[in-house]
Amino acid sequence: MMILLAVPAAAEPVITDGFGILPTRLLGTDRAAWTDAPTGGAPAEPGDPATVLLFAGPKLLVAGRDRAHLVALGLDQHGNLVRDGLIATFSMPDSTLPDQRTRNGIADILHLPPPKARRMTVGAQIGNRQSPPADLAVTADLSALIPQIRPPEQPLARLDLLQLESLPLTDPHGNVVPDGIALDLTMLGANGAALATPMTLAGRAQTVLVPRDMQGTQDARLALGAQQGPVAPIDFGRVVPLPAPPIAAWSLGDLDLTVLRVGPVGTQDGHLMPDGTPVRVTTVDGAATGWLRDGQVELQLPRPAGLGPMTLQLDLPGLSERRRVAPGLPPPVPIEASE
Amino acid sequence: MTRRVRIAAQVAAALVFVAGLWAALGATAEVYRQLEEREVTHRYLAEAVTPVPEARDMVDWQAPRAGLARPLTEGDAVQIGRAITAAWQLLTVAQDAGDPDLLADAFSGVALGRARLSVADAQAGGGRMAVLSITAEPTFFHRDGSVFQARLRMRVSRHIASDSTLLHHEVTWDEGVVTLMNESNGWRVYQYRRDAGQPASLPALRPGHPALGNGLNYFPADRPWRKFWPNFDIAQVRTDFARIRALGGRSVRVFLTYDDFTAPDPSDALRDLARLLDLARLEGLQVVPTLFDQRPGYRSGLWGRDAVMLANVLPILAAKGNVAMIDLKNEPDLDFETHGQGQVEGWLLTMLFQVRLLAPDLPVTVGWSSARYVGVLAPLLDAISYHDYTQPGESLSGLQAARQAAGDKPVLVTEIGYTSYDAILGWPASETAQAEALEARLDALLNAPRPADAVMVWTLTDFVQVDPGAVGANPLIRKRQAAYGMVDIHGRDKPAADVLRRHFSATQSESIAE
Repeated sequence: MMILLAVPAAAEPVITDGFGILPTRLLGTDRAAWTDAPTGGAPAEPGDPATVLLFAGPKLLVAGRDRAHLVALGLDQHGNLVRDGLIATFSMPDSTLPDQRTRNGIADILHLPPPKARRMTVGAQIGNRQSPPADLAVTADLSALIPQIRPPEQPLARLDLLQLESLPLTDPHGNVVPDGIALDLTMLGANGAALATPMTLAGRAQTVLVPRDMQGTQDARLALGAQQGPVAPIDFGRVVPLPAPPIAAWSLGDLDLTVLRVGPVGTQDGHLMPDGTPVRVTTVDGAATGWLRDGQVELQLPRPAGLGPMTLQLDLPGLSERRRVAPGLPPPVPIEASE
Repeated sequence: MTRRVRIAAQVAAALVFVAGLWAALGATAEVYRQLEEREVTHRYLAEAVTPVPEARDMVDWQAPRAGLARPLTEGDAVQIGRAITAAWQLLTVAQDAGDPDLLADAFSGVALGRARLSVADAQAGGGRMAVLSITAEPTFFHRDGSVFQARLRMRVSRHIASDSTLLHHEVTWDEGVVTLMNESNGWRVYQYRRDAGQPASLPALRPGHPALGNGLNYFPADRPWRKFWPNFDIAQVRTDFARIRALGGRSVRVFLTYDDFTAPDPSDALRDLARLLDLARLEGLQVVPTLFDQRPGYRSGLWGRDAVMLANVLPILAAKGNVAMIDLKNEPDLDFETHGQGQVEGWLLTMLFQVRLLAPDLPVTVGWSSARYVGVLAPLLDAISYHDYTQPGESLSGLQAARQAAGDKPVLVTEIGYTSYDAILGWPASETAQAEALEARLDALLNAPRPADAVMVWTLTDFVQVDPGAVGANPLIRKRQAAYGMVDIHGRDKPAADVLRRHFSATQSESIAE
């Protein structure tokens, strides 16, 4: 049996478009309204604009630098792209935008808005159809902004908390920097590490420091991204220890050692001396050094038991005194530091 | 009396034995017949489920004629190219399956509504659309990267088929404008407008007809079918091609497995294809590459991927002078029942359009499983080919039917063969029986009043292990299929080799390679 390629001579008529092929008898009114060209034929003319979509971006424009791109897409009532050459108008506050013409359903314009930081609503119209509104925002240009520290007032007394803030932050166009921008505050001390991350609020960057063991005058600098501000001196004041801190001594008889516990050493501010404060004790039997922790330090001297009171020289930053101490029993419980 | 009873008992026992033996043989034959039927069903079921094509990028980008508000980066081109490719692939799959739920992954807005409507219309009217190639020129890109528009030029196949008939078919060059939106889950086609659809036409057949010498079908003994290309052994191929030549063959039929030549990176397979063609040339062999071997079904959703395979292999085939002709598909008529003759014919016609576009100088044939369907596409092909596994005595009528369909075009019988599998005492076959059957077949085809223009024997060698994907998993069938060679797995010539040598040397056809 011989079978030839079977395309029937009386095959029913068909219609083709961008999404396929179907017998003409099945063509519905929706599909018949598409402007797609059939095979070997020409596209149909679209109808008048019925829907205008507006795509406005970028959503956040840097003042004086970024252009807004307003794009209008026009469709007729059947979803076909509107014909070429239709006039599209665009609206933006405080701006006059020239009309554009549609091509493949799209009309667009690039425009530099006035450099005033603000939110604004834009729109488009093709024919007598308007788009829904779209929102854009212009924001301050941070790229040329050099942050500066406002010098704090000279402290009369050492403070528990030190508040630092910047001078007012505005861009070249007079726009205040938005809230929530993070800056870096760096103390240019031994390692130059960033100390804090002040955030902007109402046009200034603010932060609070806890001085703790920082004392004297130290240089600081604010930075916004890669832009570094000038160095500013910050005076943290001085830490002054209270005289005559408690000293307890007891013997480790078997080892011919005498243990000295110095502290708690307080400050005139009512705090303990900072951790790491060096302490040196000197007697006729020798000298011992250590560092305060929680205001105290334990040192050992090569002094046998039973020798009675001793005279010692106590030295630490801000304090130097001679003391007479009598060894006794070791304290039963550790002394708790008091704030 | 006793003696009579004894004799009667012996006769009765003998009769019972003969009856039992007869029943056993009959049952065995029935089982054998059913196994053969199941072998056929096995192959078709494996092809019945069409996989969904994986995401690829088919788009060939052109430079924009005017500046864009936002430059199109390489990354943008990849993302948008994939979105455009996926949209057309999913449209075709959705029209095949009648399931519009797939479409929302690739379409939105106006295009989503139109795609959904087209799926419903496709189910009602049988229409299908497959995009074969895409070229895109960007025409608009929003400064914030949210809206993109391009002019597309696509080669598209559209057809309407019933179960038995191809009712309408066209291949067109489409031009249109696609608008995409960059949405929460990536780029999606928002609107597509077809501005023009220019029908593509098949060029007239080249004057003259391709000539083909007698030859053999080929896989190496230890790596047939799906093992061949991933384990290509250039030394073994060279040895085997020399063997074909020694048997008097002047041509070799090879098979390009679908998965190997449509892989995301088919460079290894393409390189080895070129090497194979060069080796054949060294041995003076013409090559008949059979495309799309073990292709999974005919659903339109894969036609785009099929076009990629043609784009991959045709430049190589066209560049080598010893490709006698392309065999577009092996035995597609065996797929008529499962996939619908109309659908299969639509696919064949579309692929033929692509071959004529990409390799206009390469002759094309289709390897039908029998002479019954040789008339299908006959006016559009350069040669008519079929396979002859008919009963003894039927070869001549098949050949005559093919001649009638072919007119003055060459008629090629590109598969004949017999198993030599001897399970027990010459059953179901033997090497001797194989040689005798081959002798009769070659005599019928090559010594007919109007003989076949060329014959190709299945196959050069026996196989160590037969691919179950090709013949099914039944062990008896696989053993039979493993023993069709002229040479056994150890390289020993079987008696059929002598038969072949004698007939091929007596009827050497003019070879293009010569």
